Amino acid sequence: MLLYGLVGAVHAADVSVSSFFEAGLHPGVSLELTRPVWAHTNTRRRPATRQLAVGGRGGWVWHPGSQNLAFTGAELLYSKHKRWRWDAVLALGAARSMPIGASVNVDGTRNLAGGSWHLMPSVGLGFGGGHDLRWHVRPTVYGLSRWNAGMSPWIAVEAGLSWSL
Amino acid sequence: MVALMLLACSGPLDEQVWLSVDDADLRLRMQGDESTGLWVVMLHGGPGGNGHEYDLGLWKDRVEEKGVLVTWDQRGQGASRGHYEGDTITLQRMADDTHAVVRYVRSRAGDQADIVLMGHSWGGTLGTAALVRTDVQDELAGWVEVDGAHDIPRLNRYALQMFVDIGSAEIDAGRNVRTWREIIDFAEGVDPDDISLDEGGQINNYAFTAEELMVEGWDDSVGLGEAFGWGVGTPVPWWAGASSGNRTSDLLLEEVEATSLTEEMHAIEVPTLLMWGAYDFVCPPQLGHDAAGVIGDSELILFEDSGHSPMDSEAQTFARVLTDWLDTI
Repeated sequence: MLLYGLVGAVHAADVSVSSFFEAGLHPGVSLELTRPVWAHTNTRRRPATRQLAVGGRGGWVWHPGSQNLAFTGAELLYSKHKRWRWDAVLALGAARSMPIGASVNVDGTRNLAGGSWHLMPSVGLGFGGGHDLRWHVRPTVYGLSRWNAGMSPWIAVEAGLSWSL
Repeated sequence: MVALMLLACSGPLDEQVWLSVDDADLRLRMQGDESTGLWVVMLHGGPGGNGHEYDLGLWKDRVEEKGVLVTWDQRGQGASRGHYEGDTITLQRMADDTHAVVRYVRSRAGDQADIVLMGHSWGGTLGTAALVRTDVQDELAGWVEVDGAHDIPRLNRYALQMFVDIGSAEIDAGRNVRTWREIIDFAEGVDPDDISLDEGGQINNYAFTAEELMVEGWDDSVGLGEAFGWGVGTPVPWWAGASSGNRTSDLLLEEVEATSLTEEMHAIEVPTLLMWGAYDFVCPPQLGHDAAGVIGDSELILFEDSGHSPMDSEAQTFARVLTDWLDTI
């Protein structure tokens, strides 16, 4: 007979710090702060915990010869933790692209308005392990819109650590 | 003394800027020796390509010894970005961008500099459009068209004829018979006076297939390490560049497929070098002959062992011909 139940109190928050490698090459960092809003652990011999959390994220990535990209937004994180931990993250936020190099006008004068804002949805699917200090690797696809006449797809690999407060 | 010290300390120019032109930020990279006063502005292929594709190779190295090579990403392509509606993407818009880039280079290089415009493939379409439909010639000392696509209706007709003529000879010689038979069957099934967009796309596909059968050779001046560095140094990941570039290409497709500039090329008054691969099925060499017949001050060079990219297949000869011609500017 399988028994299910809500186990323990939902902890206050989780913090995650990750490297954020755009295209797997260009370095950056991502910081997440999430608050669990629902958790459920079954009581089988090898219990599995499922959790839903909401929160926010911010980060930055440096692409040499192209741009610095700073981003922030809200996220919804679903995770399942048994021996290993799997998670899925949906996020929606804004990004500021700051091209590397001077922004100029046709007459050669500097354009102080260089850089652009973009809507930045993203989805990531992660895998990891650990208990008190947890590690994860999370391939992430994100879009930047409007980028030229549409949305531009980008890929990153996040790898980092998270812990509960 | 101070001037000599500054000269001794200053290496070759390597500068990147983002040029703001009507809701777009165009990425320009300028590399080479700016002391000579020669600036070559490169128009990349596509639509859907990028300037970084031309940031490698012997010809690039040689041009940068002669002066400054300016590679740039056209609107909606490569790392260029902006916020604008798709229906604003037209050949005229892109030609105006080209004019804007040349005006910026003029402001950067000074009044005494010689600016040469150079275009490959779609860059030949764009450069020709800029030359005949804007005032860019006022700033230019020359124009170099390499296997350009300045007349798509003629291009398609010539490609169909090349498929049949060269394919038949190859079949007679017993080479790649099955593939040539397929290409010829396709070519003979197309009405050259009524070519659809789909048929135009298929002509382009078969053109690259045919070239693979006829052309060998690559630019062996590029080492593995240099090629790797070039690959990872791209200013935009290929999937992001391809997504944006393909969209731009789709937006331009209908207009470009109908673009025929040969009759307008008599308006090109700057010295012109036309460089074509003899086995270019993508932009057949007859387009070069047509251009040479219309442009007053022009010279046509055919590369007998090349297809669409003689800068790769005959790198040494291409670099020599180009730099010799630049010496005459």
